[in-house]
Amino acid sequence: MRSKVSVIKRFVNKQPVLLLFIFFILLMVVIKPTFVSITNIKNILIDVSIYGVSALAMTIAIITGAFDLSLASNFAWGQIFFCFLLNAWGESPGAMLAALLVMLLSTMAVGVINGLIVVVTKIPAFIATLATGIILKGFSLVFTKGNMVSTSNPFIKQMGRGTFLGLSYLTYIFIGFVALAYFVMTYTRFGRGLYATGGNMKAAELSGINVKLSRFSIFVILGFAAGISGAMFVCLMRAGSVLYGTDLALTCVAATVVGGTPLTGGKGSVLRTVVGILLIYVLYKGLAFLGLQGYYNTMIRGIVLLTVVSIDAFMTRGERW
Amino acid sequence: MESKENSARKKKIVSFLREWGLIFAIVIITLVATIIRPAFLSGKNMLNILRAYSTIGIASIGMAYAVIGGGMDLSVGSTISLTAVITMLIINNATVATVAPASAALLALLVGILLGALVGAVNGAILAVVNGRMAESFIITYAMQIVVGAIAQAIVKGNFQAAQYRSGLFKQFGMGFTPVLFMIVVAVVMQFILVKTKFGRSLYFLGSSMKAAKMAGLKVKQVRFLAHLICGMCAGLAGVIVVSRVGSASVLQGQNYELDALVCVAIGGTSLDGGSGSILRTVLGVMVIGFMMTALNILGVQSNAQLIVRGTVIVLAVALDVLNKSMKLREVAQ
Amino acid sequence: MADYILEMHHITKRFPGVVALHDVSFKVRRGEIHALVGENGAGKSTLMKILNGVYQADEGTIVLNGEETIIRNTTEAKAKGIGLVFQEFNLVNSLSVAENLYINRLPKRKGRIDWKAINREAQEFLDSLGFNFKATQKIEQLSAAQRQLVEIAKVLALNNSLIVMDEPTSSLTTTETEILFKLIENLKKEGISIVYISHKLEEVFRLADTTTILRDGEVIDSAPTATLTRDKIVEKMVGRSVDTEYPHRSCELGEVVLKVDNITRNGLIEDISFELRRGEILGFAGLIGSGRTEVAEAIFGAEVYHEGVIEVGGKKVAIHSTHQAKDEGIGLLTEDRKETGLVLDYNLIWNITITNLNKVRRRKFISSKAEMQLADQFSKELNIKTPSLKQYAINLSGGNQQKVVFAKWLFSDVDILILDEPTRGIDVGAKYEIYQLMNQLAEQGKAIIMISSELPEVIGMSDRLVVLSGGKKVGELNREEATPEAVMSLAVSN
Repeated sequence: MRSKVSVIKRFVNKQPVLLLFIFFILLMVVIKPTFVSITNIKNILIDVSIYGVSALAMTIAIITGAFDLSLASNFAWGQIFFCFLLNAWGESPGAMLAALLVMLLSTMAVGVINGLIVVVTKIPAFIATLATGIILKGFSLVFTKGNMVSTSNPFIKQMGRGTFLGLSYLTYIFIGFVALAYFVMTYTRFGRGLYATGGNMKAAELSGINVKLSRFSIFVILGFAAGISGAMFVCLMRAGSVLYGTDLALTCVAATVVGGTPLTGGKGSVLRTVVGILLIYVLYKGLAFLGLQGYYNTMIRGIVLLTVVSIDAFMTRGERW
Repeated sequence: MESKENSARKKKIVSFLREWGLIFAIVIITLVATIIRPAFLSGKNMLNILRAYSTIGIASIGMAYAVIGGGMDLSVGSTISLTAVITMLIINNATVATVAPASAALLALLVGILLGALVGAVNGAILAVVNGRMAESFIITYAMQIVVGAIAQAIVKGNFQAAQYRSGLFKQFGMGFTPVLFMIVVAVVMQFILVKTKFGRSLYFLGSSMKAAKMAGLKVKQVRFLAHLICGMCAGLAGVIVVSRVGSASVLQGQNYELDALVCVAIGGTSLDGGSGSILRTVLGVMVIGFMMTALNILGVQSNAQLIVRGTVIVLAVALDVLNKSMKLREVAQ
Repeated sequence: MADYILEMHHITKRFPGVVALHDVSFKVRRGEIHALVGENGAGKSTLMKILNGVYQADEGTIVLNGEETIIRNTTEAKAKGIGLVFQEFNLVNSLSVAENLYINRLPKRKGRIDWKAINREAQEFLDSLGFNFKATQKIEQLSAAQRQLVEIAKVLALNNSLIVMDEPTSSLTTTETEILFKLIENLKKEGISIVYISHKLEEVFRLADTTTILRDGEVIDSAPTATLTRDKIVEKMVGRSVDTEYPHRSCELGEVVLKVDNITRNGLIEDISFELRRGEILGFAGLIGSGRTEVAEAIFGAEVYHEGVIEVGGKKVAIHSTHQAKDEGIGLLTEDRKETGLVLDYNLIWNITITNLNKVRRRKFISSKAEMQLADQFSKELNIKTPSLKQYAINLSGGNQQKVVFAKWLFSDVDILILDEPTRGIDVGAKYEIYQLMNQLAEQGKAIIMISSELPEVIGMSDRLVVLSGGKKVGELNREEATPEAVMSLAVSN
């Protein structure tokens, strides 16, 4: 039997990033005990829920050995197009549902394009999605003429503000997606195929797994998640713009890494990412709470992300020889 | 299976495109643009294009080093913004009665390059320590972009700064043929280093296979560090020149520079996987992009829509490289 | 029922510029073990790739179970009951053994994967094969040999009627090889046919009912193994008689150039000490995973060592990196020439000169003329066969590639050469040339450490043998003491 000390030691060795975060947060709570308030927790959970849906998809992508830098642009496009459709089609339930579906189809179409480029032309996912992200951003700017699009739809407003048992509706949506993602990744052949694809693509292919389909579907899932996140964001802000959520892709990667899913693929879990994104937003909000606003907040966010990905890369440095 | 003639023909087309595609593209673009607006071909317009794209050129040359070494630098844009605002602070502080003294110009040049070197050194140091390759360099320099951008904002509190000088050596940096000269000198020196020095050769090996480079007894970490250091220095230099050319500085100065640099490197035929590429072709790539963007302006395409063009060009350039490689491999496998 | 489970008739396969297979006919009886031997490039793998649907034959037919069939891709091959055990690992390291076994057909219960059933079934299956590891273990926790066994189990789990094994023992220890041989014999009893590809002729004699010999894309002979002798097979494989397998060398040993004292790498090697003299070939014998490569990596600075002292030429040195090792005059020819020995898509000049670019600099800068001249000189000395030095390394045969790796390290002017499996995967003729080259280098005063898994080779070539087992040095034998039995009993002692 292993002693308690060595269990702790193993944890420190294996999850330094997680530990660092817990330490930061404890420190913050000690400095500013008022940070722990019901409203604050509820607000943090709303942010976590919105970005969390995308972070789940990014984690699935990273497990599969793919990556999506166009996520932020797709998220922004989702907001913009959703607002646009809501304004255009009116406030009847049918119209709103149609708006949501059409918007999701459009963000998934971006995923389809990404997937086709990566799978068919074999361009590395990094570069392909960097490029499609730029294209989509340009398209969104042309579409909006650079302006913000807003909506005053009352249902949407209610969705963003309403609570059930003290938690925002948005949080329940997130919890639903967490359960779905966990089930798919653990109890379906499709999900296990994604693990195998990310762990060893050649082996997976030789074992009869449709690797191309796995890799392709990842991008569609990412597109779907970006759309859902976009819709949730619209519920909160009642507006959409290319300027919202530009750091989404990186935040999702950071959430994945903080949770303990390595960027090397084939390993990890979506549940870990829930912990990761929670910790990240507690930290972000905490920084704001300590009075770090605007570019100082951005700077610290950047440094946090830089530290997190550097530590993760450091932990896996031996694998790259 | 493809027939032999068919694949041979395809191979010919691809290798032709790689050999002559850039020149070909420049000629076509020039032709089309000249037909629409004859002034396009004038010497003055040519110089304008070259001058406008010289800073992108310098940044691209630095980027090519990072890419050939199997990495990437997405912090180039922020670095340019940072050096731009600092350069402007130095010059404006030293300016007396609308004249920027030569000493201040040289100081700004030095500080700009050093600042770029500093950012590059941090990137390079992290990547050397973690044995970073493309994926790691992508993420780490992406995070660095956010940090450096925020620092630039914090320094000028997000404000736009206009030049207070009207003349002086600093103004010369961005006038007439000088920026182009800067680019040419940088290109020649960097191509020479790449081809003729141990560092240059090691950089190719590093980009091709980090492990093979290590097992050949090369100084892997040092080469990785230097590649990013040089990339940062180029960005710093570009930042100084861009301020002189446009006569103002803001935190948005370097926006999208890393993308433009990547586009130019990719279109110049440097494989984004690392291990191959050349500076001279990168410069040709810069010219293609410069001519194309100018032609698009003439055609009345808005800058937002130009983003779409840039993204598409990256995809096409990389697809061509991937296609070329897969054909090479298929040939070898047989 | 047909006598033959597989008949490949008059198979011809052309690639641009070469005929890889010419009118090859290959027949496998039901329930027999059929060995397929030949030098590298003889066409064995091309033939098996055609059987597996990776390639299509230009001419000829494939008859399975008496029925003519066309196999378009690997999925079809699998569906027709053809199993292939790969030489390289095709496992997902981050997943469990059980999941790797059932990867594409995980059993479901009530719409979800039934993990309990998978783990139980997999464990029962592994036990039935006599493999001693847990089904729930992740592949990354297994040794190389155990991974090879998983690879084999994966194919067996599919109930194939024909199994192709390509060098299945290359990473197995003696114990596991025995398990595998028993398994193969049991499969034969069950009526399953096995095509067994191997370089190790002992195995062929031990297992095979029939042996087919390929040379230059043609079948030279196909006969019951009992009617063949080792010498006959070798002669047919190379098309000439090989006089002495290991060329003789006589030379004086010089002073000690490398002294290693109690080198330890935590968890991998422990307290390894030895001396190496000028002009000496020191053999490192031991099973896979005994720590031979790990010692080499430590001396070459590719991996850290935690304790111990290394002396080069009587002077203590602290080696922390590969370039430091190179500066001290130590070179390592890695066991994986394709991944780490060469950069396959660079030309020979670049590959050769990279270890010592100082030599090709004229007035501080690299001179292509000097590079060309020196690379040419080295390639001629080593008899590298290539149409041009501008040729990419990938286009050379295995033997010639290995010679380029030698050229690369000779170019660096190091005095101590560590050769990790220098003849792995190259054919008999090229092997002989490598042996001659090693002797020549020793005579010129280089000191050589030779790591090899082929016992006859390492015994035949070495002046002295260090035997490792379980990360420890378990013995040192001189030429007279080094019999295969003595080495093997030491190798399994720890």
